[in-house]
Amino acid sequence: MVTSEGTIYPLLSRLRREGHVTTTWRDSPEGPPRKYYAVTDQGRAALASFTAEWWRFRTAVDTILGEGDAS
Amino acid sequence: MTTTNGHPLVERYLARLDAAARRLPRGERRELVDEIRAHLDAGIGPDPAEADVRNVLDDLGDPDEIVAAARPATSPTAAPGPNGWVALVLGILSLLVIMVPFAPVVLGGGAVVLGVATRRRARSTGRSDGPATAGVLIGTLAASTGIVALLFLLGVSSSISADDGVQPVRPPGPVSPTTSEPAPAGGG
Repeated sequence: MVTSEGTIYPLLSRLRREGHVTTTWRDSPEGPPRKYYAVTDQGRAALASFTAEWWRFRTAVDTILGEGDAS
Repeated sequence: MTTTNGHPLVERYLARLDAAARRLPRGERRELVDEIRAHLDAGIGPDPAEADVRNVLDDLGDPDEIVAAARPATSPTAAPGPNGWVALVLGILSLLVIMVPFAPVVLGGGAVVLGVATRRRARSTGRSDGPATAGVLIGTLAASTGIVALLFLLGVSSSISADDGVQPVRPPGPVSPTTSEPAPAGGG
Protein backbone atom coordinates (compact mmCIF):
# COMPACT_ATOMS: atom_id res chain seq x y z
CA MET A 1 0.00 0.00 0.00
CA VAL A 2 2.76 2.43 0.96
CA THR A 3 4.86 2.80 -2.15
CA SER A 4 7.91 4.23 -0.43
CA GLU A 5 9.17 3.48 3.07
CA GLY A 6 10.04 7.11 3.68
CA THR A 7 6.40 8.20 3.74
CA ILE A 8 6.02 6.53 7.15
CA TYR A 9 7.84 9.49 8.77
CA PRO A 10 5.57 12.30 7.61
CA LEU A 11 2.54 10.08 8.32
CA LEU A 12 3.68 9.42 11.89
CA SER A 13 4.42 13.09 12.30
CA ARG A 14 0.88 13.93 11.18
CA LEU A 15 -0.59 11.40 13.61
CA ARG A 16 1.35 13.06 16.39
CA ARG A 17 0.28 16.59 15.40
CA GLU A 18 -3.32 15.41 15.40
CA GLY A 19 -2.89 13.90 18.86
CA HIS A 20 -3.40 10.28 17.80
CA VAL A 21 0.04 9.20 19.01
CA THR A 22 2.63 10.46 21.45
CA THR A 23 6.39 10.16 21.06
CA THR A 24 9.19 9.74 23.56
CA TRP A 25 12.91 9.55 22.98
CA ARG A 26 14.73 6.72 24.72
CA ASP A 27 18.40 5.95 24.86
CA SER A 28 19.39 2.99 22.80
CA PRO A 29 22.01 0.46 23.96
CA GLU A 30 23.56 0.84 20.55
CA GLY A 31 23.60 3.92 18.36
CA PRO A 32 21.68 7.17 18.79
CA PRO A 33 18.51 7.58 20.93
CA ARG A 34 15.34 6.15 19.41
CA LYS A 35 11.90 7.68 19.14
CA TYR A 36 9.07 5.51 20.49
CA TYR A 37 5.48 6.00 19.39
CA ALA A 38 2.44 5.17 21.56
CA VAL A 39 -1.23 5.35 20.55
CA THR A 40 -3.27 7.79 22.65
CA ASP A 41 -6.88 7.35 23.82
CA GLN A 42 -7.86 9.85 21.16
CA GLY A 43 -6.04 7.75 18.58
CA ARG A 44 -7.89 4.62 19.71
CA ALA A 45 -11.20 6.48 19.51
CA ALA A 46 -10.34 7.68 15.99
CA LEU A 47 -9.50 4.12 14.98
CA ALA A 48 -12.80 2.85 16.43
CA SER A 49 -14.85 5.48 14.62
CA PHE A 50 -13.00 4.83 11.36
CA THR A 51 -13.59 1.09 11.76
CA ALA A 52 -17.30 1.66 12.30
CA GLU A 53 -17.40 3.96 9.29
CA TRP A 54 -15.58 1.36 7.22
CA TRP A 55 -18.11 -1.33 8.15
CA ARG A 56 -20.98 0.88 7.08
CA PHE A 57 -19.21 1.68 3.80
CA ARG A 58 -18.37 -1.96 3.15
CA THR A 59 -21.90 -3.12 3.87
CA ALA A 60 -23.30 -0.48 1.56
CA VAL A 61 -20.96 -1.47 -1.27
CA ASP A 62 -21.62 -5.17 -0.68
CA THR A 63 -25.35 -4.52 -0.85
CA ILE A 64 -25.05 -2.64 -4.14
CA LEU A 65 -22.78 -5.29 -5.66
CA GLY A 66 -25.03 -8.11 -4.34
CA GLU A 67 -28.10 -6.50 -5.93
CA GLY A 68 -26.15 -6.13 -9.15
CA ASP A 69 -25.34 -9.86 -9.15
CA ALA A 70 -28.92 -10.90 -8.37
CA SER A 71 -30.48 -9.10 -11.34
CA MET B 1 22.82 16.15 13.54
CA THR B 2 25.30 15.21 10.82
CA THR B 3 25.29 11.89 9.10
CA THR B 4 27.81 9.32 10.15
CA ASN B 5 28.50 7.99 6.69
CA GLY B 6 28.33 11.15 4.59
CA HIS B 7 28.07 9.16 1.39
CA PRO B 8 27.70 11.51 -1.58
CA LEU B 9 24.56 9.70 -2.77
CA VAL B 10 23.03 10.11 0.69
CA GLU B 11 23.91 13.78 0.81
CA ARG B 12 22.46 14.35 -2.65
CA TYR B 13 19.26 12.54 -1.64
CA LEU B 14 18.94 14.61 1.55
CA ALA B 15 19.52 17.81 -0.41
CA ARG B 16 16.72 16.84 -2.80
CA LEU B 17 14.45 16.02 0.13
CA ASP B 18 15.22 19.32 1.82
CA ALA B 19 14.43 21.21 -1.38
CA ALA B 20 11.18 19.27 -1.87
CA ALA B 21 10.19 20.01 1.74
CA ARG B 22 10.58 23.76 1.26
CA ARG B 23 6.81 24.22 1.14
CA LEU B 24 6.37 22.68 4.60
CA PRO B 25 6.43 24.82 7.74
CA ARG B 26 9.98 25.25 8.98
CA GLY B 27 9.68 22.94 11.99
CA GLU B 28 8.04 20.15 10.01
CA ARG B 29 10.64 20.42 7.29
CA ARG B 30 13.55 20.10 9.72
CA GLU B 31 11.88 17.24 11.59
CA LEU B 32 11.28 15.32 8.37
CA VAL B 33 14.84 15.74 7.10
CA ASP B 34 16.25 14.78 10.51
CA GLU B 35 14.13 11.65 10.63
CA ILE B 36 15.08 10.52 7.14
CA ARG B 37 18.70 11.22 7.98
CA ALA B 38 18.44 9.13 11.14
CA HIS B 39 16.78 6.36 9.12
CA LEU B 40 19.69 6.42 6.66
CA ASP B 41 22.24 6.51 9.46
CA ALA B 42 20.65 3.43 10.99
CA GLY B 43 20.27 1.64 7.67
CA ILE B 44 23.65 2.34 6.11
CA GLY B 45 26.75 1.24 7.97
CA PRO B 46 30.15 2.87 7.73
CA ASP B 47 31.94 2.46 4.41
CA PRO B 48 28.97 0.94 2.54
CA ALA B 49 28.93 -0.51 -0.96
CA GLU B 50 27.31 1.85 -3.44
CA ALA B 51 24.73 -0.79 -4.38
CA ASP B 52 23.63 -1.01 -0.72
CA VAL B 53 23.25 2.75 -0.50
CA ARG B 54 21.19 2.79 -3.70
CA ASN B 55 18.95 0.01 -2.40
CA VAL B 56 18.26 1.82 0.87
CA LEU B 57 17.51 5.07 -0.99
CA ASP B 58 15.24 3.30 -3.48
CA ASP B 59 13.30 1.73 -0.62
CA LEU B 60 12.88 5.12 1.01
CA GLY B 61 11.27 6.40 -2.16
CA ASP B 62 11.11 9.63 -4.07
CA PRO B 63 11.58 12.78 -1.92
CA ASP B 64 8.57 14.44 -3.55
CA GLU B 65 6.43 11.46 -2.63
CA ILE B 66 7.61 11.61 0.99
CA VAL B 67 6.90 15.32 1.23
CA ALA B 68 3.47 14.83 -0.35
CA ALA B 69 2.58 12.47 2.52
CA ALA B 70 3.28 15.23 5.03
CA ARG B 71 0.04 16.95 4.06
CA PRO B 72 -3.51 15.69 3.56
CA ALA B 73 -3.97 14.61 -0.04
CA THR B 74 -6.08 17.57 -1.11
CA SER B 75 -4.11 20.55 0.11
CA PRO B 76 -0.77 20.49 -1.74
CA THR B 77 -2.26 21.00 -5.18
CA ALA B 78 -5.57 22.59 -4.17
CA ALA B 79 -6.38 25.97 -5.65
CA PRO B 80 -6.70 28.88 -3.24
CA GLY B 81 -9.76 28.15 -1.15
CA PRO B 82 -13.02 30.02 -1.65
CA ASN B 83 -12.40 31.95 1.55
CA GLY B 84 -9.77 34.07 -0.18
CA TRP B 85 -12.26 35.11 -2.83
CA VAL B 86 -14.98 35.67 -0.25
CA ALA B 87 -12.60 37.99 1.60
CA LEU B 88 -11.89 39.88 -1.63
CA VAL B 89 -15.60 40.20 -2.47
CA LEU B 90 -16.35 41.38 1.07
CA GLY B 91 -13.57 43.94 0.76
CA ILE B 92 -14.92 45.27 -2.54
CA LEU B 93 -18.49 45.35 -1.14
CA SER B 94 -17.27 47.30 1.87
CA LEU B 95 -15.78 49.87 -0.52
CA LEU B 96 -19.06 50.13 -2.42
CA VAL B 97 -21.03 50.88 0.74
CA ILE B 98 -18.40 53.26 2.05
CA MET B 99 -21.01 56.04 2.48
CA VAL B 100 -23.37 53.91 4.60
CA PRO B 101 -22.73 54.27 8.33
CA PHE B 102 -21.33 51.11 9.97
CA ALA B 103 -21.51 48.98 6.78
CA PRO B 104 -17.88 49.44 5.64
CA VAL B 105 -16.67 48.75 9.18
CA VAL B 106 -18.60 45.50 9.44
CA LEU B 107 -17.91 44.26 5.91
CA GLY B 108 -14.32 45.47 5.83
CA GLY B 109 -13.66 43.97 9.24
CA GLY B 110 -15.12 40.68 8.04
CA ALA B 111 -12.90 40.78 4.96
CA VAL B 112 -9.82 41.37 7.12
CA VAL B 113 -10.62 38.57 9.59
CA LEU B 114 -11.45 36.09 6.84
CA GLY B 115 -8.50 37.12 4.70
CA VAL B 116 -6.00 36.85 7.53
CA ALA B 117 -7.30 33.41 8.51
CA THR B 118 -7.17 32.23 4.89
CA ARG B 119 -3.66 33.56 4.46
CA ARG B 120 -2.48 31.83 7.62
CA ARG B 121 -3.88 28.51 6.46
CA ALA B 122 -2.46 28.97 2.97
CA ARG B 123 0.95 29.73 4.41
CA SER B 124 0.91 26.56 6.52
CA THR B 125 0.68 24.60 3.27
CA GLY B 126 3.35 26.73 1.64
CA ARG B 127 1.04 28.52 -0.76
CA SER B 128 0.28 32.19 -1.08
CA ASP B 129 -3.26 33.39 -1.46
CA GLY B 130 -3.53 36.48 -3.64
CA PRO B 131 -7.30 37.08 -3.33
CA ALA B 132 -7.13 36.85 0.45
CA THR B 133 -4.27 39.33 0.56
CA ALA B 134 -6.19 41.75 -1.65
CA GLY B 135 -9.25 41.25 0.55
CA VAL B 136 -7.24 42.10 3.67
CA LEU B 137 -5.83 45.26 2.09
CA ILE B 138 -9.13 46.51 0.68
CA GLY B 139 -11.00 45.52 3.85
CA THR B 140 -8.49 47.41 5.99
CA LEU B 141 -8.86 50.48 3.79
CA ALA B 142 -12.67 50.36 3.85
CA ALA B 143 -12.95 49.59 7.55
CA SER B 144 -10.55 52.33 8.60
CA THR B 145 -12.23 54.83 6.27
CA GLY B 146 -15.57 53.74 7.73
CA ILE B 147 -14.32 54.23 11.28
CA VAL B 148 -12.97 57.69 10.47
CA ALA B 149 -16.27 58.56 8.78
CA LEU B 150 -18.22 57.31 11.80
CA LEU B 151 -16.08 59.34 14.19
CA PHE B 152 -16.57 62.36 11.94
CA LEU B 153 -20.35 61.83 11.84
CA LEU B 154 -20.46 61.39 15.61
CA GLY B 155 -18.47 64.61 16.01
CA VAL B 156 -20.72 66.52 13.62
CA SER B 157 -23.97 65.22 15.11
CA SER B 158 -22.87 65.95 18.66
CA SER B 159 -21.85 69.49 17.70
CA ILE B 160 -25.17 69.95 15.91
CA SER B 161 -27.16 68.72 18.90
CA ALA B 162 -25.06 70.95 21.12
CA ASP B 163 -25.99 73.89 18.92
CA ASP B 164 -29.61 72.86 18.75
CA GLY B 165 -30.50 74.31 22.11
CA VAL B 166 -29.09 77.68 21.20
CA GLN B 167 -29.93 78.30 17.57
CA PRO B 168 -32.47 75.94 16.03
CA VAL B 169 -32.50 77.46 12.54
CA ARG B 170 -29.80 80.01 11.97
CA PRO B 171 -26.19 79.07 11.43
CA PRO B 172 -24.03 79.82 14.42
CA GLY B 173 -22.57 83.30 14.31
CA PRO B 174 -22.40 86.49 16.19
CA VAL B 175 -25.87 87.26 17.48
CA SER B 176 -26.71 90.81 18.37
CA PRO B 177 -29.81 92.97 18.11
CA THR B 178 -28.47 94.61 14.94
CA THR B 179 -28.41 91.32 13.03
CA SER B 180 -32.13 90.80 13.49
CA GLU B 181 -33.02 93.06 10.56
CA PRO B 182 -31.38 91.15 7.68
CA ALA B 183 -32.12 87.88 9.36
CA PRO B 184 -35.81 87.36 8.45
CA ALA B 185 -34.74 85.97 5.10
CA GLY B 186 -34.35 82.58 6.78
CA GLY B 187 -37.28 82.98 9.12
CA GLY B 188 -40.18 82.16 6.74
